[in-house]
Amino acid sequence: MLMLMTALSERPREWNYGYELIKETGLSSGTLYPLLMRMTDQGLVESEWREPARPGRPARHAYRLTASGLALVRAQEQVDGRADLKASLA
Amino acid sequence: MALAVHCLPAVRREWADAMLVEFEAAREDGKPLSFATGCLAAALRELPKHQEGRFAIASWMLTLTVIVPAAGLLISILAAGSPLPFLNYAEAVVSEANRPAVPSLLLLLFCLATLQLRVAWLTLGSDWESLIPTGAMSAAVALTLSIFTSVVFDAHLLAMLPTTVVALELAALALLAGWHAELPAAAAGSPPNGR
Repeated sequence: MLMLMTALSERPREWNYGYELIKETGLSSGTLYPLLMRMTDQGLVESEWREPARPGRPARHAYRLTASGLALVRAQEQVDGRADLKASLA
Repeated sequence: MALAVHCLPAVRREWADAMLVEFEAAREDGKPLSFATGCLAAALRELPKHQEGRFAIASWMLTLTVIVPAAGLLISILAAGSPLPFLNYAEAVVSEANRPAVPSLLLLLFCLATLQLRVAWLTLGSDWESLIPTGAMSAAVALTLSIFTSVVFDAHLLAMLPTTVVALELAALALLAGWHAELPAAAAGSPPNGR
């Protein structure tokens, strides 16, 4: 889930398509879609149907982080940053 | 992909459409099979999380553990060509006097097997309107078979079997039909091109 949220947080305002996310994260469709469904249910991700870039193609379902999803990623990054700092000091 | 889309409950219809559209991208990328397999796995994992999915699992369980095995038992007797080994095993009285009744018994078994297969098909399709007459016919044939076996072959315990199985089956189907009526209707959220 963290991998997917990190990928989505790299372009927080942009919409991402399912197959592009699969290629970017290396997750399988069997992992990606349940994660996206759950994260959408929890309000961490929003989805909408986007008109295709190429005419004559069907609309695609696209995803991006919501404000609370983005806040969760930032909070996790801070926790990881602190953990890395502690590890380097130890 | 068709199976994956079929397995997803109506509340996830939007996600089924999303998977179908992305399948085209996977196909263009030369990886349609792994994408479709993943989608099917995702759809199967979603099944028990929703009432509709749990209903589908219950329908399949009833069909595969009760209705189809009952039909299979009847078909195996028919395939053997004679119910005599089965009647002998059940300690029925088979003599020259009642042996001419065997073809009639086989006919009843054939009718019940056919009806059982139809009940299985209609159950999986949740076709309750067609199930009512088919279930009633199945009950009538099972009762006839029970009376026939009891009176002609004096096998009272064996005679109870078809009626008991069909009665339990119909009771379970009545519960399933009630459950189906309470299921939520298909959810909203479809792509703008109305797929």
